[in-house]
Amino acid sequence: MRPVQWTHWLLILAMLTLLDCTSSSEASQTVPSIGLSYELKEVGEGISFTLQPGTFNKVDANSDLVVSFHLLSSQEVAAASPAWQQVQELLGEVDACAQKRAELAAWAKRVNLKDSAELKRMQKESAKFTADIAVQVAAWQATLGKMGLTGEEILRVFSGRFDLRGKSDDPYANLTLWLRERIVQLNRDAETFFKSRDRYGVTVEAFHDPIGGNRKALHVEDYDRLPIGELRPIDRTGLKMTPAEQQRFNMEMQQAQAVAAAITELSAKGNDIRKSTFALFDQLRLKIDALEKGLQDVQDWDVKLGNAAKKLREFAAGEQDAAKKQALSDLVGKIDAFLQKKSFILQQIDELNRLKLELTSIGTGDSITPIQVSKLFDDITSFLSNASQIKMIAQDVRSIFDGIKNLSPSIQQEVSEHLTEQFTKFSSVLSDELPKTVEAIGIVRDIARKNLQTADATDNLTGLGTPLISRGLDDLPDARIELARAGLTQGDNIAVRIKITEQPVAKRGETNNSDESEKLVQEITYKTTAVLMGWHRVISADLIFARALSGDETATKWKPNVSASANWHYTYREQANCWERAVNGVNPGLGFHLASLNQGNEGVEFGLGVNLSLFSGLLKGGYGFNLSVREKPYVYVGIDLLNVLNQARGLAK
Amino acid sequence: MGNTLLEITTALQDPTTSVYLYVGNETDNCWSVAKVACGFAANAKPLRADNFSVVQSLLTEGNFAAVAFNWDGEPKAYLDGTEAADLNTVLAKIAEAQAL
Repeated sequence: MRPVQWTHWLLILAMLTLLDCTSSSEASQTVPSIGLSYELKEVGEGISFTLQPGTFNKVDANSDLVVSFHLLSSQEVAAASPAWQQVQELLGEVDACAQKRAELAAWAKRVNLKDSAELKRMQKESAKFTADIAVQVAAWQATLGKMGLTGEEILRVFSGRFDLRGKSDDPYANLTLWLRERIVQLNRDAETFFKSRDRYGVTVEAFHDPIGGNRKALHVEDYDRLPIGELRPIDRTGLKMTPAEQQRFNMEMQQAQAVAAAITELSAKGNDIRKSTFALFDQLRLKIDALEKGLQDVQDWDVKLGNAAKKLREFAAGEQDAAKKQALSDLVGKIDAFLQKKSFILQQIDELNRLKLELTSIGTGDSITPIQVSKLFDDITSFLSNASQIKMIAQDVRSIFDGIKNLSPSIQQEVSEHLTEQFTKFSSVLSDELPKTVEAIGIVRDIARKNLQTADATDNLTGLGTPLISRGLDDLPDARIELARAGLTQGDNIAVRIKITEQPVAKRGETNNSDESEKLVQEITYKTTAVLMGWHRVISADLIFARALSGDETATKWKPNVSASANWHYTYREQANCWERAVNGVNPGLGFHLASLNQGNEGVEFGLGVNLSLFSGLLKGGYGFNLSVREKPYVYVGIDLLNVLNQARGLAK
Repeated sequence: MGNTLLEITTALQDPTTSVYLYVGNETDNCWSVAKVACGFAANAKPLRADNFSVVQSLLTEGNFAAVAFNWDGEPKAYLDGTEAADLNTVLAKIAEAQAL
């Protein structure tokens, strides 16, 4: 069963990786309404590739990303408009038909009337043309109608009566004249727009999303005031690491060590951990149980509280002192208001009861299922959302309690007959116990959630306070992002956001991050992943499962360890055919590794050997010799944990 | 002033053109439509008679405002006032008359 499952996983992985290839469609983005086009290019030594928005583009980690802008001329803007294209198309059709008609007219003039066959041919051709033009004229009428002309106006255009100049009887010439005037008008409109387009602003932002780290803003030349960064290109084939790579390697190593240690710990103490988790839930259940019982008392004394209110109302009616009368009335009002909230308290008791049952059911099982955890979180969250209201009720109870204490001793005595010590107990439960339990529930929920959730800070950091420079359309230099200065490692993502806004002219060139008066015209984000193209090396720290090929049972058992490996790969930049796509997809690499092992009695064991890496290092296999135990051979399979988590996160998105 | 009977007869005898004859005033919308339609069609000639008496030797009086003739000068399609005012109908009738 196990080998089959592994094969399936490998196949799925291979298919997913093969699908992940660079695509190419339209080259540049155009905003016809403002006459601007732009494109993002990956520029390196002697290479330049246009990138596509809406897909993950793989780019070389040592290249530059350059956004180039092209401002269309007023004529280009006009020509890009559908109205202009429609008029041009119509002009072409009219011209072709007019020519054909003129040819037929010329033929009619020169035809030999005695040659009946030629005469018939001419008549037949003319008849065919007339039948065709009847259809064509109907289509032209429809097009002119779409341009806003009425049937009467269209006839005026055909007959040359659309202004004082067109007086020809030739409808082709009249229509041509009108269409040319239309083009002149469209060009004039475009020029008018051009004079007013300085109200548009362009910003370019770049962000670096490192594997296992938080998003940070990158410097874009001429488009922000961020520090330029230190030039540190990645050594393509050598083993020298940049500081960013070193940091990533350390992180991978720590993670691999932690996971290896955790696996060992779990296998040894899994039962204890499970027990302590259940104990935590059990304690919470007991606390909730106590609170529920305390709250249940409300059912016993609310009638008595009602009677107390009645008695107080009688005292208030007989009281002569206005201030005391008012105090008694206020107290009665508070008691009445509290009694109205009784149903809410009963509802909370139900909620607590449900939580208790869930915790009991979890406590009796062998393991906790994700569905159980999810439901428990939902119920806890629902209960906590009422916490503020519960706190207010607790304050009300405290206020009633204080109000009674402030009454004259004779009245206190009268009222106390109706209020047993249960009220005091309930007041204490509500104002002291309940907030503590709510807090405890919240803490347990947060601890559990933190452990289960993958913190994804990147999405929350999209609105970083980057000191942007907004540029006008007449001043748009290339926006360059030097990736070699970004502190990238292979696999990191870089996002480039281009935003075009309509804004007050005064805002141009100023530091501007959020202006409510701005109107967004277009926003496009390009997503890229930094890799190394061509021959390159990948250095990584991996979690491995290694076993000796000979020796006792301890030595030949698969055990979690860590290794540092260097692999050399080849990546095709353009993926011109299936072979290149397949090579990029499987992305095989060969190299060597140094591993920590645990196969003998030595305190510290090291192994050295060769390894094969597949799917950009996602999966590795190695063969080597344990240098600490008589050079005993071993094998291992390993995974690049950070890479796996990153890919899993990408798939989840 | 519309075309004379002689002009109309001469045109009808010309096998290189087909005639579209409108009977009515020069300021009529139908006459504008006639000129535009013949301007679009190939080798079609628009003619106008001021009234029916001009062409009574050629046509039998009836409820029509215009007539489309074929290449041989024979009346092929008759149009009433509404039809003669519609460009697409006029073009279709000329095409019908020209068809061999």
